Amino acid sequence: MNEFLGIDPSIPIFHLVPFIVFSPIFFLVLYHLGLKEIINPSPEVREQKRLLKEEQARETDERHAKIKASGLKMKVAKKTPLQLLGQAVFFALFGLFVIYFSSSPVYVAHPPEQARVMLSFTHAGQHREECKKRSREELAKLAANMRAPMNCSRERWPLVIDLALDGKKVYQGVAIPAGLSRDGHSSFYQKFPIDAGTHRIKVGMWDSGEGASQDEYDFVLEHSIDIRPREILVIGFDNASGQFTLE
Amino acid sequence: MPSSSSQINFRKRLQNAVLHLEAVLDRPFGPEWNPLRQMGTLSFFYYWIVAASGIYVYILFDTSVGGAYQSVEVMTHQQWYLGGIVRSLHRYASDAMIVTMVFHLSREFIMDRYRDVRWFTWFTGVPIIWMLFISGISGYWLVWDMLAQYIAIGSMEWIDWLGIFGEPVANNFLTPGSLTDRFFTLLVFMHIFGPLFLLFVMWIHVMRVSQPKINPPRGLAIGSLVMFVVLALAKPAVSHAPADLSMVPSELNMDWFYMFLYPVFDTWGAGTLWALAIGISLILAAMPWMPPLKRPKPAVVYLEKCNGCTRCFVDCPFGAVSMVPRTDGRPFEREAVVAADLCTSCGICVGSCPVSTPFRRTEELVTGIDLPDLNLKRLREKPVKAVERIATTAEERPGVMVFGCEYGADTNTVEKPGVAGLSMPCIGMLPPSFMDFTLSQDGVDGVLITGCQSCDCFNRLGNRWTEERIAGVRDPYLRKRVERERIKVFWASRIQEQSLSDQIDAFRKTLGTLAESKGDAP
Repeated sequence: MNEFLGIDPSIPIFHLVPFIVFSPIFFLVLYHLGLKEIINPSPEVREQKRLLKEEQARETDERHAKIKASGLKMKVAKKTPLQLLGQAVFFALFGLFVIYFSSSPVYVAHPPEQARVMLSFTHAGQHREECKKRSREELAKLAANMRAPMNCSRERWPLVIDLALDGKKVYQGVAIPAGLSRDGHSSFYQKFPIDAGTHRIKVGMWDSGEGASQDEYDFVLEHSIDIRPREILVIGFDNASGQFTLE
Repeated sequence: MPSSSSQINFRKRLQNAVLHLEAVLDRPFGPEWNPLRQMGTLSFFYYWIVAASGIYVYILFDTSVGGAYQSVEVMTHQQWYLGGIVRSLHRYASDAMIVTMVFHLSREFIMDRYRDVRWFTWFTGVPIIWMLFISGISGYWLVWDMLAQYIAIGSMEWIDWLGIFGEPVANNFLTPGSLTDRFFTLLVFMHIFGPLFLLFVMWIHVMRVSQPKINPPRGLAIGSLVMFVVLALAKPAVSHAPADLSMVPSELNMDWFYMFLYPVFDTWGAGTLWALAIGISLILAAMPWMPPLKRPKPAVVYLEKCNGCTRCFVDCPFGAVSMVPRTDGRPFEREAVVAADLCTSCGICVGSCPVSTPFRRTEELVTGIDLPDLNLKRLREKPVKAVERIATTAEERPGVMVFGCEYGADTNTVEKPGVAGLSMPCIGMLPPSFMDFTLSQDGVDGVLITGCQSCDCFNRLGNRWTEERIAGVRDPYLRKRVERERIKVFWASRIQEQSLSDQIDAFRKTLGTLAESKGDAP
């Protein structure tokens, strides 16, 4: 597993990164939309709220006193049996609508007789340029803290992949390395429906750019599979051993 | 312009359709309980049901990947009498919340209650839609059945399309062993923080609304609760087969309220769905300015008549009036100030000002707070002129003056010999003293007050304040000397002009009988 600052990137903390980045932006937008009136109201706003609360309470008290003094009673119109029946019909129709669409109609997300092949892995392509040893003159031109003896480019080759089923190519894809300098990993995540049964599968990949124009893959796997309806076969890549995997 | 007029006609037709539908539901529920006018408050109520039931479900819930499904099964089947019912309440109230939210949003759009000063409430409604969907969908993940597997993977693939993560997040669901308890706990947290954030945005949504109504009438709350319990007993919410990451989810009983976008995702792909979701959200957010509402000039405070009594401050339905320390040296503590960007020019402040009396004749008629386009002086001229119309047809007595508003039944259509109508921006603009003044005019035997249907005031609180002022429980009060038999209140929407006309006829008959019983010729 590739690590970043010694941390396994698949652990959940990494998935929080976008939230950590975008939350302050979202917060700032909300703050200017009106959140500041809640969190940090100006003394004037605070005074207005206090006064409004006070005046509304006074008005309510006055109103209630008037109602009490005048002997008025709050009119709560009693519903007739026919009205209650009408309400029951409304709630029944509303309930039927809710109950029906909460689980119907049935959606067929995937044909039940078919299986699925997934191509999913992350792998870093080779560096585009080989490391060069810096000459004394070149080192002298650099700042003291930048004088690394080897000059290595960061940019990596994209990955090129071919997938063939029963001798027929079903997918050819290119994955660009992540990062502004294109120096990160390249990832594939593809799904292919496949008829259940026995198939011959061949997957090949170039990660060195140069080889993409040649017939010989940098990595290749050819295998027979027997797959059941709705079963998922995942084609992965083990970076440690440099081999494709089938799960 | 033809396009704008056809647009207006189209909206009017939609408005009439809504009003007709509401009129149907007025029969069993009455205007105050009409659920179509309570969609916002019902949404709040359903949220509380979902929150309360969610707390109970969470107590029984096992947050591990291996235990989640089993814990939900136990509460559904072994404790069906409580856990099962509560789980169903949790689901059905969430679904109903989508329905009420959609109706609420559509109604506010159709009735044109989202532009101008209402932009903030509309605008903050857009993140509510997102948060409600995030909350609902993240809840479905936690059951960890085949449906959860389908929507969890679909959601992650949708997010992965953005390319903001180094490695696809969907890889967490690749093989049976790839989903860890730690990642699953993150999903649980999403379902806790999502609804909390939803509540927070709902709070912001109503924050600027003066005296917001967030609780439905008791009858509707009880009716809804009974409905959910009956649904829970009739068709308890159940799970699909447990999730199995080695198998593809196939035939699914989708909750279409929350998951209707997943088939769109399957068919059109993540990019199209992002474009749709962001595009629709942006259009919704920009709607208050498409086009902006043109309204009359905002209210103006006349300091020489304002004694800082705070009536307009308390009564303004949009919080446009604030009270600040006195600036003119007069011996009052405060003075009213109008925030022009919050004022809808409804005139409710004019109706609440105790100085707004038409009886003064010795000086120019000026009140403490007034509308420049329809000031008190012009407002007094209107009933006087209208009364002249009644007086010219004196043989048709008893004469009735009808005060209405621009959004309710059209008062012009009910005019006939002996009946004159006058419309104003909101019925709340009518100071009670104007009723007294009108009744003191020759030829007028009664005043009929109308306006938007009860609980549906376009300016939120106009008809409520008017009723309370007439009842003598809200300042400024209608004087006690005014015979209440000569005043009638009948709220009527635009489609209820015939009912209004019938009410006027009945009122005139009553006035005639009243006059006869007193021995007066009308």
